[in-house]
Amino acid sequence: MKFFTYITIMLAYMLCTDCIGQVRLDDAASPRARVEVTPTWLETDADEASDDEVNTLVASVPNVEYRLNTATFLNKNARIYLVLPQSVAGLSSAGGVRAQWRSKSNAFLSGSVLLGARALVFTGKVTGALTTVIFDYTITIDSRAMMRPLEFRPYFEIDITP
Amino acid sequence: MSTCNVSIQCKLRASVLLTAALFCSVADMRHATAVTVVVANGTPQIRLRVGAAGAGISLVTFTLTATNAGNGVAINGAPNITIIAEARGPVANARNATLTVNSTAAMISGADSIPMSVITWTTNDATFPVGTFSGGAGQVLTTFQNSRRRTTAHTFRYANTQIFPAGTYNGQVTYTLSMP
Repeated sequence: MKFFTYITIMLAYMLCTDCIGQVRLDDAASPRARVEVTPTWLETDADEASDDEVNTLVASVPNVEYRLNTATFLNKNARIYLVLPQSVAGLSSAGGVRAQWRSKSNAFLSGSVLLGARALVFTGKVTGALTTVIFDYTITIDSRAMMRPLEFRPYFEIDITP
Repeated sequence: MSTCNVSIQCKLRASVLLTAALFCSVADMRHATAVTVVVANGTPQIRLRVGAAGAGISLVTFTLTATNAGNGVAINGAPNITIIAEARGPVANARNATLTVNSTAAMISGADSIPMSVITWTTNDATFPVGTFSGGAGQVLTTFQNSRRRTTAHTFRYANTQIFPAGTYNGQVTYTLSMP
C-alpha cells in the first residue's frame, strides 16, 4: 500500500512541477499550419569553394506566425525558448542544420539554434493569454544529409522564473 | 482479511493507472503543435566556367617561328585556362557529373588545317587528368559525384612534331558538363 501511495504522490509531484517548470507551449492557434519553401544553393564567388559550401542549401521562410497559448502563465515572469527538435523527417543525420530567425515581435529576440538545442527568445512577464510571435527564418541545410524534403517542427518551451 | 487487502491494492492500482493516464493525456495536450516548415529538395544545379569569367571565348595562343617549327619541342600556349565545374544536388554522392570536350573541329588557316589532337594539356588538379584532345566529340575529361566543385588551370601545349604551311590557324573546342 505504501508503495502505491508513493507512486501516486510521485506522479502528482511530476504533474505539479511540470506545470511550474519547463512546459511546451501549445501553438495550435497559429494561422499557418504548414509552410512550404524551396531552398536555394548557397552562392559563393570563390573559385575553390569547399565541399561544405558547395553542399549548403539556404531556405528563407518569412513571416512564420505563432500564436502561443500562454493563458496558464498570465502575469508570471517567464523565459520562453525556441526548440529545434533533434529529429527532422527527411534528414539522414542530425548534423548540418541550423535555423536563424529574425524576430518581428518586439519583445522577442532574434537568434539561431542547431538541431536538438533551444535558444532563449523571451524573458519577462507574460502579458497575454495568447502570445503572438512572428519570425523570419533562414534555415541552412547540409544537402548531403538530405534524403527527401525536410519537415521541421520548431516549438516553444516556457520556464517560469521567480 | 487477506481478500480485503488485495481488494484495496487493486483500487490503488486503478488509482495509479488513472493518474498515469491523466498525466499522459495532459502531456499530449501540452505537445500540441501546429506549425510545420517543409523544405523541399534543392533543385539540382550544374555550372561550368572555362576560361575568363564573363561572356566571351578565351583564346590560347601558340607562337612558332620558322626556326622552331616542327622541331619536336612542344610549345606552351598562353594563357592558362581556368576550368571550374560544379555539380550540386541533394543527397550526397547520388549523381555523377561528367565533363566532356568536343574537339572535332580542326584549327583552320585558309585551306590548311591542323587537327586538335596535336594539343595536349597539363593540369594543377589531380582530379583533372592530363590529356590530349582526341579530335572527337564527347571526350571525357573528368567525372565526379555531387555535390562538388572542381577547379583546375590547364596549360596547353602544341606538340610541334610536324611542319604545316605558314599561317594563323584558329580552332575552337567546346566543353560540356552534364549530370543526368
